[in-house]
Amino acid sequence: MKHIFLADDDVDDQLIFQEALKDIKIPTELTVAKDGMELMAALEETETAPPPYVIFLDLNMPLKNGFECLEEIRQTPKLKNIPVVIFSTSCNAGAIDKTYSLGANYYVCKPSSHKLLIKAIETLLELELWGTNKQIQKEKFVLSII
Amino acid sequence: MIGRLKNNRIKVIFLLVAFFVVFLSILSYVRITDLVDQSKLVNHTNLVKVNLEKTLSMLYATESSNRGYMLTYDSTFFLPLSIASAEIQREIGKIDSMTKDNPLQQQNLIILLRLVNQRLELLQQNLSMVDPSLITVENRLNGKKIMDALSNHIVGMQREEDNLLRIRHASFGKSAFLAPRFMIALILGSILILIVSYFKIQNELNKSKKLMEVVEKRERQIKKSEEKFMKIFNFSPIPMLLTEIKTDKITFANKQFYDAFGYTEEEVIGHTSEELKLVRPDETQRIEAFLLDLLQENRSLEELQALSVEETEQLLIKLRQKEEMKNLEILYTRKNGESFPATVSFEIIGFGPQRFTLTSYYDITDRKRYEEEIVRKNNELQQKNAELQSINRELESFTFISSHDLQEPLRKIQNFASLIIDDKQQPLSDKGKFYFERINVAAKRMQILIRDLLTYSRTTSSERKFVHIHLSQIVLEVVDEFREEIRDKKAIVEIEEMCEVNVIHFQFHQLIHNIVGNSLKFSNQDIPPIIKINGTVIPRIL
Repeated sequence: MKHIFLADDDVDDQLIFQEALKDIKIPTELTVAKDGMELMAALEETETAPPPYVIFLDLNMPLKNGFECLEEIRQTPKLKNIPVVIFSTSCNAGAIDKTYSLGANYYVCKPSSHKLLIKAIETLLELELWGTNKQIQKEKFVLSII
Repeated sequence: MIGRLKNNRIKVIFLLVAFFVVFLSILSYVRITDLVDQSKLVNHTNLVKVNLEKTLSMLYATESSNRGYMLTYDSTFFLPLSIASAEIQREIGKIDSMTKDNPLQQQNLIILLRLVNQRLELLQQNLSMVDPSLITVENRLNGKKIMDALSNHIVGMQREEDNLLRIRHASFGKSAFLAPRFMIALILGSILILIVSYFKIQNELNKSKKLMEVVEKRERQIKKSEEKFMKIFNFSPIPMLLTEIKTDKITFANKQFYDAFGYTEEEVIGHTSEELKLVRPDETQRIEAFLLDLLQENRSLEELQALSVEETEQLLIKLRQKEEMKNLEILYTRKNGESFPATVSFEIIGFGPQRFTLTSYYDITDRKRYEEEIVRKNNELQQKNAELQSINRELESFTFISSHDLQEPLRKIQNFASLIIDDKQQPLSDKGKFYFERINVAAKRMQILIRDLLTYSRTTSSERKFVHIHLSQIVLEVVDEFREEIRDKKAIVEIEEMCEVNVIHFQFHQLIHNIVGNSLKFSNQDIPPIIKINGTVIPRIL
């Protein structure tokens, strides 16, 4: 069972994600936070419990945005090893560079089809996200979903 | 230096020549006097001979008187005797004085005198006898003996004189030989010197004349160039002044100066620029301080104004070489009180023996106005630029945000449409699925449209950076971007001849992208398209 955290302020996107998870072969459990604050709070609760397998982090969120969360996560000793995948609509170089430099593991641009989303999540979950201390190369940072 | 040497040489030569001439003259004089002396001596000898002859003849005269008396007993024969006796004495006295230098003849003379006296005595004896027949034969014989002795003696004396004459004649001959020759030498030498001097003097005169001609020519040239200068000076479009360094007074001003400053000739010539108050009063102090500082002068202005012409010139030259003097701007005042800015520059110039400063005043009112205008326009431009840039940035971000936000709903439409299509639990009918597909397609098209709009807006606003690039590179990039579609359509892309271009990479990429995209889009659905891409540079046809 892989515990997945999703931080996204958009209700529709949350729904789409959940629907995608339903069709993945790998068993998953999803925790949803609708802004950065909720995410950090949810993460605090898991300090005693096993941490999530991966955090899907949107960038544009109220109260606390994805950049701030990422920074905080990477600076918190208990949380800094959790794989973070940026999951955003904006795919500009600025955001990509910044999240890379802040220590995100992968960057995924939100696809426009159900099938593609399934594929992306599956690919990510099959990767060895845990166990590598080194950050992935920049060229492979943005996940290409074909 | 050469002149002085030449001068000395001339003096030396003159002295030598003069000495030579004097020497020759002295020699000639000596020779001539010698010759005269020699001839005198010769004459002298002859004279002595003559006197001796006279004496002899007088003695014979007495003899004939004696005879006459003895024959005639005429007492009239006595008179000649006494006269002759006196005359003889006189003659002998003459000879005596003439032969004072000849000891031999002096001795002879003594003998002669004795003999003469003897003879005269005898004659006297004879004559005192009243009766001449009483004169004894002895007496007569005695008388004859004495006469013979006398005759011989005189002849001897004459012969002595002849010897002397011979010697003296020889001497005279020698003198007569030398003296004229010395004279000729002197004359010829003098003539020669005269001729040489004449030629030398002529030479020098010619040289002088040539030099004079050169000097005159040069002076004419100088005059001409001075005239030329005055022409240029007077008609120069820039106000100029010629100020005498010694007196600091203005000697000349050109027409433009009178026009620019509004003065008349009388008001300007002979005055100093300080008197005319050319520099605006509030400026004078600044300028003075500036100049003194530039020259690093501790002396006051009064001290500097009291300097000699040479020293002043030195200062002016030093001043001119300073960088800060170039384009020195000073505010000047016209006669009517108006002030205007001008750049002043000066040069030092000589006219004949006098030294002047040539100063020009270049009115820069216009230039300053233009400069201000330029600065103002520049500022405006910069402001406008800044405004434009910020507007651009706003526009960019606006475009970006709006296009991004516009795409969001489309994405969601597609997502939900695909969810519905892929719903396994509540599958739609075929028709339903088809319609949702169409919704998807439409949404996708709109998405692409918005994306392209965004791209387009970025192309027109992005940097215009031209690069040299081989077209094949861009084409390959584009073909790679389309690989999905190419695979789906089973299209064959043939990249043929390509060329190098000088383009904005981003824009040209977009262009090729659009063209290739079109070629894939507008192809026959059933037949796999064959796309041939080639590129050549063609000359501009305008």
